[in-house]
Amino acid sequence: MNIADLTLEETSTKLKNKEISSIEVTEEYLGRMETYRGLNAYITETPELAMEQAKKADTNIANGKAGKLEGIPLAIKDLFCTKNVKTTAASKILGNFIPPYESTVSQKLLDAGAVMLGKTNLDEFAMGSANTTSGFGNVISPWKKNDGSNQDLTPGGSSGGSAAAVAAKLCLGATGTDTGGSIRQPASFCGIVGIKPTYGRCSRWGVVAFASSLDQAGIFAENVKDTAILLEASSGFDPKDSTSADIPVPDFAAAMNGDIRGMKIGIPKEYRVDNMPEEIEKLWQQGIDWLKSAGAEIVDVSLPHTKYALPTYYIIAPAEASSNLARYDGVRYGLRTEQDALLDMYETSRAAGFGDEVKRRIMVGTYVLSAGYYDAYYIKAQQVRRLIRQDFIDAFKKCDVLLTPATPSAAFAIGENEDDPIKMYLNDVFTVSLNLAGLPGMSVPAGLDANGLPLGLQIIGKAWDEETLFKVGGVIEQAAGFTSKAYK
Amino acid sequence: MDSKTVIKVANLARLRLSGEDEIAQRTKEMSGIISFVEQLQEVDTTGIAPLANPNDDVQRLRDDKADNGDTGNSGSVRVLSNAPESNSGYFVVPKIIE
Repeated sequence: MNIADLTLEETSTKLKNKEISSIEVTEEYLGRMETYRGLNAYITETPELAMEQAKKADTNIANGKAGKLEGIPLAIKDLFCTKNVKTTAASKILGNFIPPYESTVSQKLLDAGAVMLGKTNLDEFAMGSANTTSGFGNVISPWKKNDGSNQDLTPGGSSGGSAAAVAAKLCLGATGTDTGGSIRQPASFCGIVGIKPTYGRCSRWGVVAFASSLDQAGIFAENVKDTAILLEASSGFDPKDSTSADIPVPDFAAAMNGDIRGMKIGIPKEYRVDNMPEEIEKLWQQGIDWLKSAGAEIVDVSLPHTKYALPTYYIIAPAEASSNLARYDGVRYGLRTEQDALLDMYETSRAAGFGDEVKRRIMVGTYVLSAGYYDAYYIKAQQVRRLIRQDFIDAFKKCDVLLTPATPSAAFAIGENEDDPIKMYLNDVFTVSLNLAGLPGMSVPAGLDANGLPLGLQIIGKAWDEETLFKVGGVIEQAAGFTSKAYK
Repeated sequence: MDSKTVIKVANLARLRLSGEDEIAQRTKEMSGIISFVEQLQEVDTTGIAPLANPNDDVQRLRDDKADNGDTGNSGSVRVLSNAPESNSGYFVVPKIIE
């Protein structure tokens, strides 16, 4: 038996049956992290902490006190503050930041017995779709095209390190955050499952803020069931997050009973975008056929404001970012450049600490919030945001979930789409509406393109109805029989 | 979008621009992004209330009571532990009074 071949659920069973120990499992994953360090999936590895936690997990198991994730090694996106462990948000401005507190989501995972292997790489402050804006280097996808080119591909972004780590089996699951597609797009690119739950399902407390009304923590794992197990452990009301929802957390894995007979699957016609690659179109149709054969009913729906989602997002997200990132002033934490005058210190510290994409968004955000432009851009975008959400409310009167492609293409080469910011932004064309509407979305690997690269389908649910996503996700997973792996 | 606006915005955002090249670059990319988002002007939003929170929730307020979070009694020491410069329990900044 090779430990890395086991799923999270299988590992958990073997740990609880004492067939393997958490120390063995953790050592195996730490070894793999070392072997595949070239992927640059982790910014910080925490092997000593991991071994300490593994030892404790083994004791808990021996004493019959095992938590739901006892002894399971996980990776944490380096946007979640971890007590006494460096947390950078992949920005030079936070290069030496050691949080004195633990984020709620990572605390919940630790409380359930998880072992933390390290902090994964991401786009700087989660702003990007290729993990190329990180202040600590690109992440390289463990996938390669099947043409023998050996070209380095992007794992997607912003949670590129988490997605690559799960796909390369450098952990059994990972946290991510999704502001416009930052979980679902990398999951699709890396051939794994990723879920962004309903806004308010997982606490934002201790997550470095990008755009607070859009940011949502979520999960990556290699299959739907493992994702369900991890999401349940991460979810729940948190008084420390003023937008956390005080509603019960269901047993997500239990919802995966495979029975979708009579379920209505909405197909939004506006997602048939211009120049959509034939492979994506084909995969989408394949997904529709799978669900139909499982007994679901297919319903055509319309989301008329879809084309305005990206422009709406590129007003609201930079506006909130410019406000959130005002805190990096070189005074209380983070990088400071020494200057004689306070204003010079602010300006040069921020210029030295932030990367190019972050500066671009701060500038755009500051502009759309500035006097004279606030109503024309920011308020206008918030009005269109309501219309976008209303489209979903109307569509869900006719169906239970929506099925769409997750991304407009498979993974591209590192360096592609870098010449024009808008080109990169278009990666999120299928994902970004959900953040504006606060809805849950899951990307499930469903097939390979002609180059042998994974493609995902996206399932979109009603607010608080992640259970149906897991149910439908399980059916797609089974029908797709997606067994291709990026790891050896 | 012109260089004058870019300089003004950079000043509001407290971002030091490195020189003419950066000003030109920022002007170009901001023009691109602003003209991309400009298409929202064609949407009729008469009478539509702005949506700030997708769940329509009013944000909760906590009780106005001090707590040390999970930083314990040594909270102030740990908060200062990330400061670029601190002295006697205070953050230190460059001189602001001549």
